[in-house]
Amino acid sequence: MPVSVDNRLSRSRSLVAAVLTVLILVPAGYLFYRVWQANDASLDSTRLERQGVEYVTVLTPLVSALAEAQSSALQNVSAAPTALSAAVAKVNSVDQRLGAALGTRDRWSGLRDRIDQLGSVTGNPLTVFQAYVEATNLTLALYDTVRNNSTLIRDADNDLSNLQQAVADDLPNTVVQVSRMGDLSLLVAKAQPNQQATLGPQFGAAVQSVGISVNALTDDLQAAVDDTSSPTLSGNLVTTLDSFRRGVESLTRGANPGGQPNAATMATAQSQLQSSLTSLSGMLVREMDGLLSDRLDRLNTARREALVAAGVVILLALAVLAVLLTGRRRYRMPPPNNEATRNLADLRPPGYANLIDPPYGGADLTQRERSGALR
Amino acid sequence: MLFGKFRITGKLALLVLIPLLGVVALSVPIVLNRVAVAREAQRTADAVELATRVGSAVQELQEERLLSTGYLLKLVQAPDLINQSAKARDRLAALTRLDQPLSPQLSSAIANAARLDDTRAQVLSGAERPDLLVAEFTGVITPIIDALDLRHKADLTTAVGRQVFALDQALRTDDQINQASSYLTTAAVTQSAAFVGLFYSILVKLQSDIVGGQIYFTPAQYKLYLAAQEAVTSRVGSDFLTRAAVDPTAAVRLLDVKTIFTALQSVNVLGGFTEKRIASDVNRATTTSRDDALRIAVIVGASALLLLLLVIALSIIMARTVARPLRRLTSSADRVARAAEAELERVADDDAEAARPIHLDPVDVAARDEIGDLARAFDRVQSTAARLVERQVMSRRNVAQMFGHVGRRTQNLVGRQLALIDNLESRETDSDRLRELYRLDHMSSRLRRNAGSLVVLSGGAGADEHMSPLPLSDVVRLALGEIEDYTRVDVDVPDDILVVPSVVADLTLLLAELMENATSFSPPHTRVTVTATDFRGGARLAVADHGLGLAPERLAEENARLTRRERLDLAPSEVLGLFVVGRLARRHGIEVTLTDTPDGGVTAWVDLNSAHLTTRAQTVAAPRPMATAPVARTQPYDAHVFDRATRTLKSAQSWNAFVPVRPVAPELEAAPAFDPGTPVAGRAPVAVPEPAADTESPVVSGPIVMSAPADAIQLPRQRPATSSLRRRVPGTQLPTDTGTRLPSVAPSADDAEAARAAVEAFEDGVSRAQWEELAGHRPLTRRVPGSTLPLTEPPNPDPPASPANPLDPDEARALVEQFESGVALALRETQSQHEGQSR
Repeated sequence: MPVSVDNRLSRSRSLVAAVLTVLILVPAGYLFYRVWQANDASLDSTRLERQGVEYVTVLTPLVSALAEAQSSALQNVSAAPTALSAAVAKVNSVDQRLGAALGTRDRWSGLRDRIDQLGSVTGNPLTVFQAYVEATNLTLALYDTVRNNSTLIRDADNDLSNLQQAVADDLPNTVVQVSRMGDLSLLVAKAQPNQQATLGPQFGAAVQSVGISVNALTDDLQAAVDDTSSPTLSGNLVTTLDSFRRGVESLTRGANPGGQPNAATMATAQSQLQSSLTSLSGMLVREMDGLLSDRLDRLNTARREALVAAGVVILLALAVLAVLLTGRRRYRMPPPNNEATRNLADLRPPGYANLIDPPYGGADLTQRERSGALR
Repeated sequence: MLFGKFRITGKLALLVLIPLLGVVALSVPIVLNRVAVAREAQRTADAVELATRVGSAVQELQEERLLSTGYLLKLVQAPDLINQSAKARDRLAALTRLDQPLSPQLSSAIANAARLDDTRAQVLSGAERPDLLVAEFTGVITPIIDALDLRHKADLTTAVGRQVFALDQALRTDDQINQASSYLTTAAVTQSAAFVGLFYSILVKLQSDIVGGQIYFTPAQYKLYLAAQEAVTSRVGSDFLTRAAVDPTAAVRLLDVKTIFTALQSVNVLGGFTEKRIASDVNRATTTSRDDALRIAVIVGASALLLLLLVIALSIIMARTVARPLRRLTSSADRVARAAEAELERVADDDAEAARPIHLDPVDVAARDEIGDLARAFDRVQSTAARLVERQVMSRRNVAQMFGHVGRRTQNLVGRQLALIDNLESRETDSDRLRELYRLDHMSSRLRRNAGSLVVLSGGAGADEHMSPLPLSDVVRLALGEIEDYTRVDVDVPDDILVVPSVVADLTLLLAELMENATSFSPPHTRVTVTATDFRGGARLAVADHGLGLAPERLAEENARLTRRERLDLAPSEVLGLFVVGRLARRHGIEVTLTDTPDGGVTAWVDLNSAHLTTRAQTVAAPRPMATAPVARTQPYDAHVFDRATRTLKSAQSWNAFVPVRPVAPELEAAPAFDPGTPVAGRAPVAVPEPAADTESPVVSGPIVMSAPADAIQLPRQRPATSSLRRRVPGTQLPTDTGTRLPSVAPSADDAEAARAAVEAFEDGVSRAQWEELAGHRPLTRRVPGSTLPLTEPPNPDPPASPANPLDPDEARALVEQFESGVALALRETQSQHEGQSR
């Protein structure tokens, strides 16, 4: 029968269409999966980077406090400064939270032990200095660990990459080198001639590396500013970087390479450097955090977009399927209404019908006429 | 009017076109303006972007200048300088690889930087003077900053433009600071007061620029700008600046050569940050304004487009919603009109007995708006019209019914009247009174015919009185008995044509009407001939007159009327006879055609087909005697009608119906009483017939005083002046009649028997009729209409028609009628005793 053939044909056709629709969904789903994966990875790494930035944020006071503690220890102040213990506590709490994710537990616990032992190191200033050098080196290594494990070091964005370099490498290096330079200048001044032979080159190297570090910091910040999406970075840098550099310069002036160091100048410079470091690093960290949170927002938006797109694709596919599955029924048109004509008698007012109905020449009438005529 | 040319769609399009054009005309400039603003903002952003890149490159150059100075003063190692040189060159080269094209000035200014290679070589060889070095670098850097052309690009009326200008100033200020730094370094190393002077002059200029430039910067930018300057002054110390103005030589000694250089180096960096900040601010502002402009442009453009599309779509939809129901209404109305026309035609013109109800299509519009109302009103109009037509049909039918009733009643009355007359005739012995009675009889016969015609006109079936076949010649004679001027009719009909009984009555009526027409519409002196021939298995009767005839179109019209069904109320009353003929002809399938008689007048052809006829053999072979008067057994009327007609015809001694062609009556010669030329066409026709009436009718008009009502039927104008009527003996004429007719039939073996049978049947019928008469049925017997008519026809006193000169028939008829009316008027005025009336 033609009807059943037609039905079978249309059924198989819509089946093919349904299968095709599903098949189109497969690459679309694959693409969505890839996008989702990439987005997921980016989100993960960005979150990790934010954690890294958070870790770095608490490490900067530690470096600063270690530098201060180093100077105090070399000036025979046995009590460790309160800033150091506060900084250690902060790092500790952050490490409790993020240490597992960033893989810094071991390093931090080792560093904390070393810092705890710093108070017990007494005697020879050189020994004390060495102990502090070890601690600061370990701190710098912790910086590196954080940068590596939080993938900050591999960030693709120019500004973030340069900023993390400045914050987690140049800045602590500069602080460490500057403080070493200052302390070494004092040590060299006080040292015995045989010690001077050892400390002299160290001091020279420290002076050199201060310059290098400061230049590297400036270069990195310049590079970050050259191509950044942050509108406030360059403006904020003008004063903070200037004051930081001024602090470094005054400390260098206090260390007075090649001459007698000025301890008072260096003390003033130290505190100036501390505050400028705090503001500079705080500013940079804020910038980084802002950039990262912007990126997180972008990624979340992209995630939502991907979800919406996937939803739309699925809805479209469902709609197509629904149309295919229900469309067959719609082909059957209702039978056209042919009752287009009507009887005029239906339209006639009720009293009218009987006027017409008596047949012409009705027998009774004729009969009456005839009878009347014949009467 | 212009709008008249458009259809509804066009009108709607016109309606929406003007506001749409207005919207487009308003929105396009806005969009263009916004796009221009956006483009301007983009240009500014591009310029600022380029400026920041150029600024970075220039900064490297400035750093190189400072390092070169330091190298010349042995403050910097060669690798550092070479490194910086390479960096500066690299940055400058990178400028040419930017994705945005450089202006020619900028390109040449950058190319101009190659000049520094000599300077660099000289610096490395230590042969360069610091001031020249600074000047040479300045000679490269300033053209580059100039080539950026930010000052001209900056629109100072806008905040962004002022910031662009501020950027330019910052670039220049940075260069001045750098120059000052170089001079200061040189001064610090060489302790030269001249360099201090150079430094100081630049510093003064710088400070005036800074103060003057304040209006261009935003407060935040200005703070940064000041901070950059502040960095310098803080490095050199406020003491130095105050001293430098007064005593440059002493001031120089305040400078610490070891620290000043690094301090100045770090200062150099800060200007870059300020520039970047300004650039970023400008970029943000331009991006915002560009985005705003673009957004407005897109919103305005898109909303205009959307409005456009919406209005177009709406107007299309509106046009459709208006035009489509209208079109549907039109087509529906058209269809309905055609259907209704057909229906109404059917109901109105079709004279069918069964009136089917009218079917009309409903108008196919379901809209609820004005168009729907129109459709419904239209629907009501057409149904009302249909009802009107139906009512009309009904009233027509009622009128016809009335006709029918009146006709039948008249038939009844006339029948009774005829019976009465018969009765009187049978008892009358006075020949004069008998003659009068015969005339009365004839008149009543004609009255009966008229009543029969009325019944036919009303659509009723005619009387079906005949039960046996009748020879056509008898039918003609029956018809002849029912007309007025039967004396003018010559009959030549063979006797062997037998008509089936079912058509006899109607055929009689038909022939009577035709002959009546022929006699009444032809001049009285002319003869009307009735002939019959075998024709295609049937018979063809010709009723030919020699009157004026009919115009060809009139003839066609009448012929059409004969074949086509037509409503009575549409037919002109003057051709009622033909209408009756047509109706009868259609009822029995008899073909009736009117043609011109060759020598003037009209010939009516009546074609009877074989179904209307029967042969004598059939009749004889029939078990019952079916001769000329077999009906007498069952229906005495037939015999009597026939008898009456026969007697009537016989009694007219001046006319022999069986003479095939009679010469024109002698009255023809006597008729023309006056010169046709003189007054006929004149204005006073009354005067003319007067003498004719006087001369022709005094003899005849005297004795005849008719008691019959004047309006009974048209009374004969002929005066039975000379003839003497015979006493009528019922039935006596009949055998003679049949006897004379029989020989004309082709002789056959059956003839003798048939004749005998017929005679026997007839005698039987006669005896039965007599018996019936005795038994009390007298009123119904013996009636012979027309039998009392005057036997001789005196010349018609009416004015003769115009001679047969070729006049237009209608015109001639009009003249004749005019003339006749005049005559009638005259007659009425002079002799009121006439029972007749003018035709």
